[in-house]
Formats: sequence, C-alpha cells, structure tokens
Amino acid sequence: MKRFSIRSRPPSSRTSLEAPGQGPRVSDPTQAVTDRPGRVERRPSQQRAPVEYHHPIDVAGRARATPLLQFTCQPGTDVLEVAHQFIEALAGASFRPGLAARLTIAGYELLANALAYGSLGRDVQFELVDLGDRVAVRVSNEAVAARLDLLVERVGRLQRDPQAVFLEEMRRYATQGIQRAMLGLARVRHEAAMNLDCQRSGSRVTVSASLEK
Amino acid sequence: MNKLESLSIPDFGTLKVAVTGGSAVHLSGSIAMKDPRTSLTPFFRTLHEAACDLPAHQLDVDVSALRFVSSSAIRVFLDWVTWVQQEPNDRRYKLCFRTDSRVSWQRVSLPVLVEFADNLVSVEPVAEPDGRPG
Repeated sequence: MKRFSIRSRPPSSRTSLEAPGQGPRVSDPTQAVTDRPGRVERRPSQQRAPVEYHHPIDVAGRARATPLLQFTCQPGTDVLEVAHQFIEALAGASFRPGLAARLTIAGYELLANALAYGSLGRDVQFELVDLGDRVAVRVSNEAVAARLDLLVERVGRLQRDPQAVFLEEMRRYATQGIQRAMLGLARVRHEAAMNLDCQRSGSRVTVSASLEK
Repeated sequence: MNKLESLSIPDFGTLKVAVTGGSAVHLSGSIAMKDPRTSLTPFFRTLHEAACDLPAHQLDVDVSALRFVSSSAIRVFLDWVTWVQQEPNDRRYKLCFRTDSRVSWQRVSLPVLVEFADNLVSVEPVAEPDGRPG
C-alpha cells in the first residue's frame, strides 16, 4: 500500500515571537525535560523588537530539534519527485537561497538512497529540522546488516575526503558503468558541503546532513 | 530543417527542453524524476544521434536555467559524453555546456566531464557567481 503523509509547520510560527515591551512569550511544551531554560534574546535598541527564540539544549547537550517538515513513506514507492518539490519549496521559503539549495540536494539524495536501498515494507522517515544555529536533514530507514556496514564505512570515508570520493564515484561510473548510492552521498558532502553523520540502532539507520545557517 | 530541429520533445514534467538555432538545446527546471535513465536517456540518445550529423560538429547545451539535477541525472550526462567518445571521428561533435556558476551542480559536476573528455566537452559560463553575465 502506498503511504505518504506530510506534516509541516510554517516558518513564521516557530522562529519569531513578538514581545511588546515586556518579557517574551515563549511556549515550549518540552521545556520540563531540559536542564536550562530556553534562551531568549531581545534587541535592546528597539521597543517592540522581534524576539528570536533559540531552542533550548536538552540534558544530553544536543540542540533540540524543531521539525519544519516530517513525513513517512516506503521503499519502492514513487514519491521522490513530489517530495523534492515540497522540500525545495519549503526550504526556499524558510532559508536564504544558497542554504535552501544545499538542503534541497541533501533532502533529495538522502531520501533517494533510503527509498532505493531500504528494506521493503519498512518505513522511511524524513525530517527537515531546525536546530537553532544549524539546520539538518535526517532520513532513517531499515536495511540488512551488510548494507548498513557499507553505509557507515562510506559515510566515514566521505567525511574524511569528500572531493576524492566524489571524483572516484564519477570516474567509476564513467569507466565501468557501476551505479552505486555513493554519488548521491558524495554530492551532499562535497557539493552541498554538509556534515554527514550515520547512526545505527539495530537494523535501522539514520543518516543526517547538517550545516550552519 | 536539420534532424535536431525536427526532434519531437516529450513532456518531462519539471524539466523543460527547447531546441533553438539548429545547434543548441536549452534545458531548464529540474531533473528530479525517480529514474531518469528510463525516461531521459532515450531522449538524450536521440539528441546525440541528431548532433552527430551537425555540420558544425558542435552542440551547445544551455543548462544555466537547470537549477537542480539528481545524482542519477548527472550519470545520464556522463553517459552522453561516453556516447560521443565512442563515435568514429567523423561523427564526433563537441558538447559545449552553457552554465550558471551560481548553480552548484553545474559548478561541481560539469568540470569533471571536461576532465574525462577534454577535447570533446567544454563549459562556458553565461553567468558568473556575482550575477553578471559571463
């Protein structure tokens, strides 16, 4: 069965709050689990300044994520082009053009890999996440252990030498016609200059691509 | 009218294709389809066959308005270069990509094609990073 559902939040509802002349109105339902309150900055030179809400840090020291976009789909389904249009439009509306273009590359390539190589019948989960000073694309899927081992190893190589791996993949395809998932990942690391991370949990893997805003 | 001008151009959705001037192809929009090798490769192959008969032995491919391509689509461009390389000398032509250096895939991937086939592929920016025409 084809499943594809999207949940998104408009940028205006999460990034800026108005604080007319007094303490900022910040509502964060998850604040109870943090070890310090959300940091709120006001522009001192303005009476009615927009307040930038910096997302609090959780007890593990990681910036808490505010998903701009979340959706779930399944390997084998033909959702890539529609998802790409949605990601491109949302990133374009939320970030400056250069940043949006890089996020669009990451969103497409990570999703394409997960749809192509994920285990059939198991969900692929996509997130575009605002981390305050950073923004990330996270895609998780299930796969067989051997494929996960390969993925972790390749992401490690890409982190170390993205340009060499990119050129190697281009050459490999041009000379031998070998098509692998690596070129898409290499583009994310080399062309979009994003940080790649790969986390395994059993048969599930989450690949993240992140960059500073 | 040469073979290129009489080509039938399929509907590729977000990818727009136009043939102009008898020896130039304009690609714009984006290539984000799931598998471009099934839909795009046959059309590029037809383009290639038509280009082999061009008297000037050069095909200009303006991709400056092609803002996004997938890694699978980059492979299709690699295929195209390989086809030209595999032709006998009298059918070979030069592929000249007109680019916008502000678009990252054009800045990063197309120079690699030049590296693979220096005498057959060239890249000429029509817009520079600062937005001025090249």
